[in-house]
Amino acid sequence: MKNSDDLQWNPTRQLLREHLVVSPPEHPDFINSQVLAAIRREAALASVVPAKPTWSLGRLLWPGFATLAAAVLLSVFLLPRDFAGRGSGAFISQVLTAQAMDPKTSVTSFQVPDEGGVVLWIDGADYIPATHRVQ
Amino acid sequence: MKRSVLFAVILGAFLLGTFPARAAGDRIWTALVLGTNEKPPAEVPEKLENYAPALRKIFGYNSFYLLGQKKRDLVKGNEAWLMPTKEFFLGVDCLAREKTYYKLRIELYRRENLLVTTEAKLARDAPLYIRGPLWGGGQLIFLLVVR
Repeated sequence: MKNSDDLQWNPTRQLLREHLVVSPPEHPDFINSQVLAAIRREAALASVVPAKPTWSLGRLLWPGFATLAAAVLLSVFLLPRDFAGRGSGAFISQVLTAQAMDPKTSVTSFQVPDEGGVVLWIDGADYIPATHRVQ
Repeated sequence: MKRSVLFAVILGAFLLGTFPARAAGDRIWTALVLGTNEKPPAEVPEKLENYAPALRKIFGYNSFYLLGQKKRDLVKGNEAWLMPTKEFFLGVDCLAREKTYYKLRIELYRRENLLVTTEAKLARDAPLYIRGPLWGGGQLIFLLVVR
């Protein structure tokens, strides 16, 4: 079913088709060449692949993994040895057991004051005359 | 890609250069020292400079002479013979290696006679001083240091 507006417009359209004359362009070849040139430019632009940025996410991935791996390795191997927290007793030497083999001698031990060293004190060992070489 | 390979090579070289050095372990240094009292006190040997204050305090002598010294690697499960002199020598058996100390069995011999046997934990740069026999006018002292 046609709209009433369409029916009213039909005569007007018919009149316009009969009397409206489109004037031809003065330089049709020039216009054609310009249109073709514009089409070629757009086609060329569309065919160009956009360049990847130098530091794309893909390129940063491996150095990132490598750096992370290095950090983990260095932490695992270096931290427990040099930087891990240690108690004050960790730097002190200690005598656990001591035994003199000669019944004439005795042995005792004690810590050195103000330093981490320890002393093993042997008593009763045979005197060595100065004439005897010990070196 | 080339940069990644280069980075990996540098990292590998760094890690290879670092770990064997750390895994090489420590060394034990032993010295036979003679302590005497002299006027004026004798100059302390360069290798004993770090230990001279403690030696003075512990043993009461003012002069010290280095009669002999020896250095060996410390490896767990290995026995090392340290012979600072021909008269005395030490057998050092590394029983355990911990982060901050070595557990050692130390035997002090005078020629073929075993004088003393001891088990001790030796921390790095924390010496074990052994008061040995008197010799002439002085005192023989054994010094063991893990470095």
